[in-house]
Amino acid sequence: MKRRRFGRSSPTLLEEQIKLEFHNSEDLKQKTIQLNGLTLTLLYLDDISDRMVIQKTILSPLLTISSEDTKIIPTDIPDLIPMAAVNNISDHSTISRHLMDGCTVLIARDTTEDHVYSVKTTYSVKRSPDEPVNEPTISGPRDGFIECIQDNKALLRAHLKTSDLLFEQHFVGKDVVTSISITYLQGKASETLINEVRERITQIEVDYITDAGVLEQLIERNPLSVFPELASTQHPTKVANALLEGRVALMTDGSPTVLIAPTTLNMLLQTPDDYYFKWIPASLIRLLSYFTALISVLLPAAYISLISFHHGLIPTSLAVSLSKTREGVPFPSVIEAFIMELTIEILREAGVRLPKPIGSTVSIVGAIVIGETAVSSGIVSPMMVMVISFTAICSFAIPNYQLSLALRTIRFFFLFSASILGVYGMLIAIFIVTTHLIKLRSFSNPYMEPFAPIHFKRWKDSFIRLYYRVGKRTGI
Amino acid sequence: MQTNQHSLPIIIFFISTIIGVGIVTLPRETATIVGQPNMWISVILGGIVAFINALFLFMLMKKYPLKTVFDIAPELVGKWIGKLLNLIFVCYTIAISAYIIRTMAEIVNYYLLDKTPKFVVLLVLVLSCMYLVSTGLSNILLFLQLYFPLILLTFLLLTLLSIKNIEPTHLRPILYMDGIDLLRGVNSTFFSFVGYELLMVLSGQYRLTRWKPVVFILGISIGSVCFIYVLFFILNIGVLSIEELKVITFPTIEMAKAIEFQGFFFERFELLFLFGWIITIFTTLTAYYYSAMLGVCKTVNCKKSLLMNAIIGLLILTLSLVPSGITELFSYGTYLNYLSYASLIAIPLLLFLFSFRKGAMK
Amino acid sequence: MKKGVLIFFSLQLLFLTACWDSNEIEDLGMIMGIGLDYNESEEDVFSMTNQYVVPNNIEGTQFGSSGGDPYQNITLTGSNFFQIIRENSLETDRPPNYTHLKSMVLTERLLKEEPLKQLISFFLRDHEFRRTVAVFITKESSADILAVEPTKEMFPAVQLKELTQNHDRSLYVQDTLKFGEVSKKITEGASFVIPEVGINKGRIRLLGAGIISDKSEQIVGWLTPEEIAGLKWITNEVSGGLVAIKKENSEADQAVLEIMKASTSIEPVLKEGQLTIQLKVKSSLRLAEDWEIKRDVFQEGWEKELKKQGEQVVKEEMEHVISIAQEQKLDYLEFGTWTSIKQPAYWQKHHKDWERIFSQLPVTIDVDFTLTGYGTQDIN
Repeated sequence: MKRRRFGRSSPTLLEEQIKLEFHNSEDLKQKTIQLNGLTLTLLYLDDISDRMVIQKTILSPLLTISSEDTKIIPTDIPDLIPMAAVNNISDHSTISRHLMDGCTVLIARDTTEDHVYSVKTTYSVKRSPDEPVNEPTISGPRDGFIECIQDNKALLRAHLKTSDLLFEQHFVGKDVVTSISITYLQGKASETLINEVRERITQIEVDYITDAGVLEQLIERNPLSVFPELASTQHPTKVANALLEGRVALMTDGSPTVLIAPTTLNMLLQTPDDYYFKWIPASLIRLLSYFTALISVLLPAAYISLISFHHGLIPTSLAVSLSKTREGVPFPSVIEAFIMELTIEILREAGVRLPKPIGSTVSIVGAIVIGETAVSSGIVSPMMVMVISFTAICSFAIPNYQLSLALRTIRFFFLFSASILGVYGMLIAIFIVTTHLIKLRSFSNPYMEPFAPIHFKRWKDSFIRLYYRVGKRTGI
Repeated sequence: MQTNQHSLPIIIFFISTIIGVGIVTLPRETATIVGQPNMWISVILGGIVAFINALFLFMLMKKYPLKTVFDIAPELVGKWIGKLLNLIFVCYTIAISAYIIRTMAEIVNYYLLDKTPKFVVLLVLVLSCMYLVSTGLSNILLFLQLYFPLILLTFLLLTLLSIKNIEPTHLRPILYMDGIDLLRGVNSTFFSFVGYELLMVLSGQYRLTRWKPVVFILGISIGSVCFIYVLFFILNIGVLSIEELKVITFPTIEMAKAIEFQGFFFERFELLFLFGWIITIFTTLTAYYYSAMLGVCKTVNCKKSLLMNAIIGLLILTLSLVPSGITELFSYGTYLNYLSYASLIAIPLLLFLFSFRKGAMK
Repeated sequence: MKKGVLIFFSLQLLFLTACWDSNEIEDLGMIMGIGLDYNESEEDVFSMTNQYVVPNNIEGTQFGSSGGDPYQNITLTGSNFFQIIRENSLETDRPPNYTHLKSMVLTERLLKEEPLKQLISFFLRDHEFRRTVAVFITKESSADILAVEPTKEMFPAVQLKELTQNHDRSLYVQDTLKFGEVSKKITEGASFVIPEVGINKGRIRLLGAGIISDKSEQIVGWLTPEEIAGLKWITNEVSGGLVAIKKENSEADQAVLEIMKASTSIEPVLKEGQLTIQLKVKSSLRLAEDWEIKRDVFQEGWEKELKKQGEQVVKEEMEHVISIAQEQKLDYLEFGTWTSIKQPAYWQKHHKDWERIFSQLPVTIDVDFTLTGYGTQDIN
């Protein structure tokens, strides 16, 4: 990775080489001590290594020994330090990575060669594993992943106490190296799946990765699709569930988001909460989430096609009152719908961007002031406001944010086709979108499973969730 | 494809292909010919004839595992005649696609989009079908599987909603019958079962050589279609009466329009049926479209490309726009029947006979 | 690049096209009811009344209403109906839309002049008309019927349709005659009756029925409400109502029985080439109103007398209707249908001669009442 910098022309001393690599940065500290004929150089990055720890675990034991009159050879060093994680670094090119992880690097030099050890002395400011903000749960575990991959692994271990849980470390990035961990349960995840994930990870050629979202886009194979090819979550439980189903999780250092592959539409509509309640209410909630997904995509289109194409299909009393409420609205209902949709999307984005206390003000202003006055001044019809806001609420009820985003996008496609050809256009649009979904594969796994290919047996854990003995989790 | 495939996708393929225009127009056609309340017996008879014919096709294809009819025709009767036969079969699939989508366009024009040109209605349908066909057979099968439960659900709902409107007197007498009329009805009911002949195309992907699974597949597919048709016949006769069936162009839709629940949130239900029905039309179109493309590609030895796909789509679209009105369309239907006879009976029979000769030569 | 150009052009195509069928709901002239009529004097013999919805005048929404009627009737004349409909555009800016049509009123004048089949052929052809539209006939002008101020509903046409919803509460009310039924009867070539409406003291009222002949498809006679009751007993349509035993046909004072359940079976019996219709009425009733002081319902056998008298009343009603029908030689009693079902061989042979056979058809009537109770209390 940074091997090229260790050219012949570079300084001969290892610590000098490293310093050069860090461009003599201020925070790279060096301390050299003489120990009974052994030169010991300590290198650490000042702010991410804990000085107290260095003092306690490295310096004080070594200095106690130096006062005695024994000969110390470099290979004794690991025994002398009363700390578990002392690694021998044989490949000198990885020294910088250890430093960046917060380790202290010990270079013990006797006459012949350098022995390099790293000792974990990490000091970092960490967030506590709080409940993820955008994925609240009702009764499940409330911990969430944080930005540190080690802690995330620990969290996952805590949830899955099994020796089958494996983490496979990979490093990605040319300029900045980010560690990525392929996580799976040995025996549950299929070998072909793991190989495919591994292959895609190793094929990545990029300068740096800043977040799991970037990683997702780098390893997906359908860049033109709006649907997420990998599910992402910040919930350890969700990941644990997915792993138990034989899926593979990808952890990215520095990102609280964990990616799960393969994913299906069915999976994106589920929440771990479904499994914590009794099966009848849980099934109803499942059904509801399918229903809300459908509504959030189709309702505006259906409303447009009924109100401006197929008047005969509306119940008479409703038709009469609709024609009354639309009386005097200056726009055709299609334009009206687009305007309202746009307004809602803007309000929603504004709400996300603003700090929380102000964010709620935006929604109040949006809902009450704009909505109310628009209706009372007759610019939009009350029914349209109802339809659009109901659609928005339905899209909030979708458990997965990426999916909700995808459905928001294709909603406009449906609205557009409905505005040209009514219900028929809507149906054609449904054909096109479903053809796309059918074609979509998430790591060679059909996206629409278990509906296409049809697996009646798996339906018991799809839009319904049968009780545990029957509806035992099926793998992918 | 693996040799040991589950038979459900194939059953779904056949059912989705067979159900098409027939469910909307067949009650009228049969009522004009048979004209008695027990004319659904004709449907059962037609189903039996179709089943026997399907078994015959299977006997032919059984000898050539993993080959389509387009592969074996040139092998058996010589290159050029074989290609000619293939072409007839391709013409048949294109003509039937054009016929069904044109009927659909007429219905869409009557009941949904009054002023929209048929060209547009058909264009969007063919384009979306083109997209599906371009994804390949395995994805087409997935698509059919996705919609299959939906189709059944709409038909089931429609049945439940219509039961209230049935007048049992229209359905009687059941046992008093004119046998000859019933047999004459078979001629038209038989054609509502076409779709099973795509067995000759599907055999290229699936190893269909053993009697038991194939008889099971065909039996279940044709049997359940037969059941759905009989059900809709009974609903149609019960709700509308025989005499009325003779004069209504699209009886099943009128039947759906007769459902009205006062004060219910949805008062009207024909949209429900139209939704389910347009899906079946789309699935039927897809199956024939794919067969046509495969046929052309195998005949002129080219790869399945987007261009080929577009050409077939254009052909179907153009052909479907030829009839000027609904009367002319239905008269084309009779010509189509001759073409079906050729592709369903004449060509397979010819190939079957030649297969013995070839076998003897070996 | 190629793909991009393709996508661009296809999008262009979509934008270039207008939305052919798009039509805002408030721009429609929703029509709730139509009335057809005949003008002898003028050259334009037909007149047609369309009842439009006027959305602005509907009360109960936040926009102030101007207080007018929520509907507007436009009556126009012409030599055919399609022409009249198109002429509506001369008076109203909203194109008429018949998808929400509730009822259709025909007049005696019209049906005396023109056969029903030709009259409604236009409406059957058009896809906007639904088979569930209720059909009525009136002796008055159809425009007047549609102009009667509704009492409970918003639109006269809706009130008209709702009236026949009471068919299970009164013997005098026929079930709604739907447009689809009319079409069915015409294609089957059967006679049938159309519910009659009239105006009574400024309010709309269901009267008897008009009889449509299968031969001329014109109106040939009328049934009174009492005769409707007889017809309903014969055709097995009774599901509620009452049987009144009047003073004159009983020794005791009058009594009223409420029908709880009723069914009639029509059985054509063929004996030695002679067809007989056997009507069997089975009904269970309850004593609803009693003017006889001497009756003691706690004593066994109290119902015998009532039962016999009630049966007699119904039987007479039925016989009366059958005699009218046979006199007119019009089979609106569905005897032909039942013969074709139960005696298909006989029907096959004789259905061409049915008119003659029907007029001389012997009918036996067997009424069987069961009195199930007298309610919660008896103070007599």
